[in-house]
Amino acid sequence: MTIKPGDSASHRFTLTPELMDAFQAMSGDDSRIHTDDAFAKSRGYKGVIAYGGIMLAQLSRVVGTMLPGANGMSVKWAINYREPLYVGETAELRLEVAYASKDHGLVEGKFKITCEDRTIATGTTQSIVPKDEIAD
Amino acid sequence: MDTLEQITPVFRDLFDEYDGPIHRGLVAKDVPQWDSLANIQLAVMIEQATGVRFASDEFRKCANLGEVIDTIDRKKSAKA
Repeated sequence: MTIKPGDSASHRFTLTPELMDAFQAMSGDDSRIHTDDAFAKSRGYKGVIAYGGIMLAQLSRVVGTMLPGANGMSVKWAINYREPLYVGETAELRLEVAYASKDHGLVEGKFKITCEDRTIATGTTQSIVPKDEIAD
Repeated sequence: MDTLEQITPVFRDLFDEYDGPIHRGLVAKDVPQWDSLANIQLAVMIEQATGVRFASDEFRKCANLGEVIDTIDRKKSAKA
């Protein structure tokens, strides 16, 4: 099956304490908004909020394994963070192909991360893809 | 809005380390970020901004930005 505008993929993930700890260890980012519950609450949040990088990691999973998949190579990601995601919550990332050029071997995607009725983040991707995997 | 004005935001977005002038005579060697990979991105982003599609060779063979603009304008006229 070849890639065409309108194709989509989605992935659900839960923000666990283990995921937060793993990302903190990997990134070295121990900023209080992500690690200190009392501090986050003092800033008006319900608790510590997700690292933005965790959402990019989920995007990496979708782009690299689902759409465009294993043969693609990302050349651009852009993300806007809209609302916080909290520990214990489950979110869904949905990526849709917005533009596909068989001539140039490039696919653009638009993605949205939601949690219940909240939009957590939105953004765009660009991937270089083998031309024979893109629809005419 | 002429075609140069139309595609200038695309240039600024893609080549975000280049703050020089954007003009018809611009060539890839003027812009450090403008390599073969960026050229593919540029082609597709210009397609989206203008609604004009390029064959891959057609875009690659343009000698400078002016030739890209002329190709866009020619295709727009043909569609009109």
